[in-house]
Amino acid sequence: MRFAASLMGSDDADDVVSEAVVRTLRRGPLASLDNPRAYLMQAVLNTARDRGRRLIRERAAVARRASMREAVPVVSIESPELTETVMRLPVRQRAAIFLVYFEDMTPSDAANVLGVRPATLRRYLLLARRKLRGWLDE
Amino acid sequence: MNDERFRQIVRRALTPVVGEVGEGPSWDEIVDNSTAPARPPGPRIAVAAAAVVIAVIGITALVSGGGSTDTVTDPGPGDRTPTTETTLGPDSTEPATVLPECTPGPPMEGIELRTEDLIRYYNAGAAAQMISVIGDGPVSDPSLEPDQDVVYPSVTSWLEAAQRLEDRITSDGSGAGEPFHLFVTRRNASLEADGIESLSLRFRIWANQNCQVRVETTDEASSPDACLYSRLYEPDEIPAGCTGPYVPRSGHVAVWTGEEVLIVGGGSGTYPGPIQPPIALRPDGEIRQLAEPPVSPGRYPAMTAFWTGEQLLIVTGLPDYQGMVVLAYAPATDTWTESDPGPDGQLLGGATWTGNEILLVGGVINAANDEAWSFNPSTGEWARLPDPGIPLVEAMEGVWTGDEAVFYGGGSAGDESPAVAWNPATHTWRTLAPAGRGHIQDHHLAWTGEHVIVYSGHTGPAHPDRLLLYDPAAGAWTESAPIPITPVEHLGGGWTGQELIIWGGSPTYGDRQTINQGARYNPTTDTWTIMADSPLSPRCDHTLTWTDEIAIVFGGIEICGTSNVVAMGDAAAYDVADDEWRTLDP
Repeated sequence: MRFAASLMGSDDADDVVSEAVVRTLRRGPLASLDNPRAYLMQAVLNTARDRGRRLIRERAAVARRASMREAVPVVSIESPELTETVMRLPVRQRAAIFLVYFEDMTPSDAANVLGVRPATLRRYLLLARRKLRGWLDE
Repeated sequence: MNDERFRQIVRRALTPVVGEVGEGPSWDEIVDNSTAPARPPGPRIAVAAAAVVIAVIGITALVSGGGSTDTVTDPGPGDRTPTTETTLGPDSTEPATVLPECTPGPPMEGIELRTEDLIRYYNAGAAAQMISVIGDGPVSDPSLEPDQDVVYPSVTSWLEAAQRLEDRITSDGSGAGEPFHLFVTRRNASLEADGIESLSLRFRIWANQNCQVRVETTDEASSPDACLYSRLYEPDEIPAGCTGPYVPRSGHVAVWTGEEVLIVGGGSGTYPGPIQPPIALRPDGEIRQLAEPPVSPGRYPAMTAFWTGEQLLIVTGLPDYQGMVVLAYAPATDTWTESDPGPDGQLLGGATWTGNEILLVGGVINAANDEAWSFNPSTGEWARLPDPGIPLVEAMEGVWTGDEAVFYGGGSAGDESPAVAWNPATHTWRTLAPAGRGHIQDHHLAWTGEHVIVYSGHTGPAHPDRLLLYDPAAGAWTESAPIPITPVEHLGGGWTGQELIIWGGSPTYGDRQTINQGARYNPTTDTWTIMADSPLSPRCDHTLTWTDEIAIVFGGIEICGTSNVVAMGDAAAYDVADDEWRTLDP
């Protein structure tokens, strides 16, 4: 649930986890999996990404009609908008920083959970850090 | 922002959303209860139990054939196909499909996943053979029909969809184990309609003859047009390079002709991206396409370009390490000519243009060498020069001073990179005094009229914080005042006639970060001027070309040395007189 909340926000976390569990249970009992935690977290990520894609498409259509791109305001670390700013990161980058910087996983373990190569995870972290540096007043 | 500071920021940002949902059930509870959905839930396992109830409802609907349960989106890792007959719901646009019965069996035992067979079965639409190898079940394949959110309920329906699109895959390699990895290149009518000639993808196939199969294309795939690929498959992560007005490229060469900048070679950033087509860029941002060269330059880092006053000369490597070649482009006729192959040991060698001929020193294919060669574009002839008397060396750089060609730097034996000068008039070499900087690589040389300036580069992991200057008349090396911005490698630089401009580059030898700072150095006064902030983002492997009035920065890539980030497709012009930037747009 914490992972899902980091990806989609607390309001949608319940739905995302439920959908992910449904998807995963279609495969069979979790106990039959070698690494059920990683399996379920990948399902949560996939579900979040699916929902994110739909949202992005809808937002992109609106933006195209308005012929403008939404600018990300620069915020301070102490600002209450910090959470909103971090949640603007693409979902996989959010997943990566949550696992490494919130759950204190090693990059290697986080890569395993997300089903990507360690180099790819490092790229997510690097891009997230770079993007946040531009958004934060620090 | 260091690692610990970033951790603090992430925790502060995510605690409000993560903290609200609490810990939830333990993993053991979730796993244990996933086998017993009917058990009355206790308070701590409410979430898992609720999910299980939903799962039961979903699976029941699936089995009974009611509703539209089969029009599911991405099923998550691994999906189970019901063992009874199932049809799609009335809302589905897919035809009703009868799923075959499954024969439970031990995972993967006795199954030989042969790449050649899988590709053959796929291209032939041979469902029975395909199923015999990988089993049957829903197939998640978002790249087959982008934006359709289709999960094919069986391998058969997946192959039928592929046949409708005339989808064809060829093998780029294979892996073994579970999940099975199949690296393929995909072509079909749908992709063509989207303007994509082909996709390079990695399939992951889970299969165990136990009614469990999942075929998906992974997000680590790349495309010849990475921007198109991202727009179709990763709309939430369109790379910054794709938002620029030009075709993204990095690692290219650029020369000023007096009217326009000729930009040749360079890759899209992602592997296996194409070598980008050559263009001519005017200072107002307009571009025109140039004829394609007979050999794709840019495959090797040894590509060096010169403007002779009439034509562009590019020294580069032939494919498959068949030696060096000189490509000549004449803007007046928009035509290319290709020289005979030259020496085969000069990749990564130092090169310079004397006004009459190209000189090459050192270089490497399998080992460094100590040879020197010349190429005369008038006659098209290569000639071996006397040995310069240097150790085996790679990655030298050269510059023409008007009287002699100075070559310096590179990896070699000994404590110092070699430094030598060739005098064409006397046909002799002379050895220069040691620079005292150890071994420097990825550097550049510029001639000011009095000094050779050595800029950029690294000495091992370190980046020098001062420029090196060599005075041929005095035969002595000196250092500049400290560089006022972060010292870097892989930057863009150019000599204006009065100042050296440096901009961008990578300050880190290991993790390949980049900057978007720049500075100008005046060797007469030994002073630096920090340039105004640029509208361009941090990058390396871009070009900075001096055009008599402005410097044009073009392309580059935001993470040095990577093969999975899209290059930059933007450019900007820097006006030295006003210390102002303007972005370029065609």
